[in-house]
Amino acid sequence: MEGLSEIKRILIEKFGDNIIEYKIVSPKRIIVKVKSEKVKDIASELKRLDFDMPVSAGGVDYIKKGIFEVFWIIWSSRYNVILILKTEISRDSPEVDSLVNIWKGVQKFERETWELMGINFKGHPKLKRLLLPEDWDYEKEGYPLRKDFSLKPYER
Amino acid sequence: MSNKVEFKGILDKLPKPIRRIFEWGRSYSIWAIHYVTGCCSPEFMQVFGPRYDLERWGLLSQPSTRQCDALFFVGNVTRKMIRRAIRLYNQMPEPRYVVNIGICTISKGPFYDSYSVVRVEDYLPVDIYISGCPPKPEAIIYGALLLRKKILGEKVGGSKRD
Amino acid sequence: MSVIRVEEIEELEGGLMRVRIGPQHPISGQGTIIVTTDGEIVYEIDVDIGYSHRGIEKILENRTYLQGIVPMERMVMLDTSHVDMAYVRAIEELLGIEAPPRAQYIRTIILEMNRIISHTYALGLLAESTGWFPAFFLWTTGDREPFLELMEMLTGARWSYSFIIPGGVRADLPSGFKEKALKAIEYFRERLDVYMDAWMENALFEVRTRGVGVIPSSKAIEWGAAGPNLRASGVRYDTRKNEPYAAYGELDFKIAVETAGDAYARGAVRIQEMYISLDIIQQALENMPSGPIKVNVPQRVPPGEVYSRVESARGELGVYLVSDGTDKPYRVKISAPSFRNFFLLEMLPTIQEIKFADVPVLYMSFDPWFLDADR
Repeated sequence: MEGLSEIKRILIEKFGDNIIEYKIVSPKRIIVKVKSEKVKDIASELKRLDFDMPVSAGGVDYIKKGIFEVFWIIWSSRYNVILILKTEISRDSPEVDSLVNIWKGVQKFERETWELMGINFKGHPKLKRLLLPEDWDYEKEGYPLRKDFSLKPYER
Repeated sequence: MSNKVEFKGILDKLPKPIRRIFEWGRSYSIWAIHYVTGCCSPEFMQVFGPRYDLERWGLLSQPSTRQCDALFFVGNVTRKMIRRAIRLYNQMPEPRYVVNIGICTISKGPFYDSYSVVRVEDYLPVDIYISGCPPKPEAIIYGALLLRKKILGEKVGGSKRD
Repeated sequence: MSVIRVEEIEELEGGLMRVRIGPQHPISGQGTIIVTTDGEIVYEIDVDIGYSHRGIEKILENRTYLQGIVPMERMVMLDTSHVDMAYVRAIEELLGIEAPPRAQYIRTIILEMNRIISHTYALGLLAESTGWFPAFFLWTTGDREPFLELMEMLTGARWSYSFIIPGGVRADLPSGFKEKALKAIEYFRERLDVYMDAWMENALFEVRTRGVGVIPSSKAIEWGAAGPNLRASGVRYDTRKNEPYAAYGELDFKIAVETAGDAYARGAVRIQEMYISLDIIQQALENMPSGPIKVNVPQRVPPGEVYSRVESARGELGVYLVSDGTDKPYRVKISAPSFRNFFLLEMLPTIQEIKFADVPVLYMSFDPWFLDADR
């Protein structure tokens, strides 16, 4: 039975400097930033430590730094805290491991992020169109949630 | 677009008093397709409820398209939804009418720069416009009664000089 | 526009067929439920959403914080003040301010009245989908009217108020509001007793809903269920107790939990929540403190990121806000409860056998609202 203060020690022991940052922002929020190659192993270790309910997942476009930041938000039923797991990937070839086999509930969130931002999740079972209309052409119109997509041509 | 409702086919050739009977019958029982598209739909449900009862004037919300006269667009319409709406419009028998409820169908409303919302009048001919976000139940009732006036051939909208 | 063929019923091999219960249908609303069945047993359910996708997350990057409340609220028309509260809570956390106590109590009254307005819709549709109670939907539509009138007296609009702003609320309670509200609470309590009698304790309704769509609590956590669907499977999760906001930390109330996990339990949790909401509104009206109702806030929000959540009627609604120091947000990610609840419907055929005639009842017991899932 590990207490909440032990989690940082266990993660740094196992993964060393693959953990870029571990911050406790407030009594119920923990932010963990990791390297993108090891995100699947760290996620299965977190699930073993009782972080079990997936709440949300998505991506943020930092165009000035040239990266995408992908995040997953998980709730723990034992400790009653929320943990935000973040990783950075490059903007030119955006690819990251899918965490569907660890937390089943992130399947639809990863599908929506693929569709609206163009991030490829390796190993996802069902990357199909979900929200955009069927005749949306990515070559002509682009990805909606990226920062270089402007809403000016669509104003009435 | 002209302000009169035109009939094609056999009804055109009948004399005016008999045509008047058909128009009178049609205006007192407008059957609407049960087709909710956006966030004005809870207000539309309240209008069919026990307090503002729209069924007293003959309107009925009907699922089958082959027996309906009117297509009410309730709320914002997206690109994915408008192609299904055109298919429904083609399935309705003539004479048929289109009513826009809510400001999102008229001019995109608070989502004026959205990449997925469209204006209905770019795709289909519209008869009545009811504005509001969402429109009050009294406004929806006024719009439905205005449709009845239009079916009876009276002038609806426009300026006094025409 | 190019031509896309959409078949109504597709024939597959093995005697199976795929039926689309399409966007123009009284049961489905603005979406399509694609069911793969052999006529009696359902093997696969797929929910096709996106028919009311407006791109709210992209639009919010083009509006200031105060202007952004208007398109954000129209995400869910049935409980708009919860969406408003989640956004305002995130902004206030980044600014580091708190609203005065009288404003918190007024916020609590509006939030709980919205919960009642939304749950009457869910219960009316659940009863109507069993086929035994076609008048029940009209009962609940009529009983919502006193609360809509009270909201119009307080804020000026019936459904979407834009009343909760960063720093407090827009205006104070008008005179005569407290007496009218207490009268409405008494009327609604009698109506709830009638509902319990005519409906929940009725053998016909129990036959249709007991044992249908049982979700065990471990699966509910693994699949990410939200709201009353999670509480009906035995998990004690309610954001009003986990992380109190508005005036919930000072009021005395219980949360409704059931253990059966079937459609009957999901309906029972909603009716109990309505009883609890009436208690909360009465307590807040009687213990309201006096004082100012808003504080001044600056237009620019300092840079940072925050995740804030509230317990809306359909489940937990989370807003992940990233700010870069200007007066417009950099990225807003909304985690909508109905988006998570649709996943439950897709995973159910993998753990148990569902009959085709149970699909409407099962679907309505999750309380889906497509506008919420599409944003």
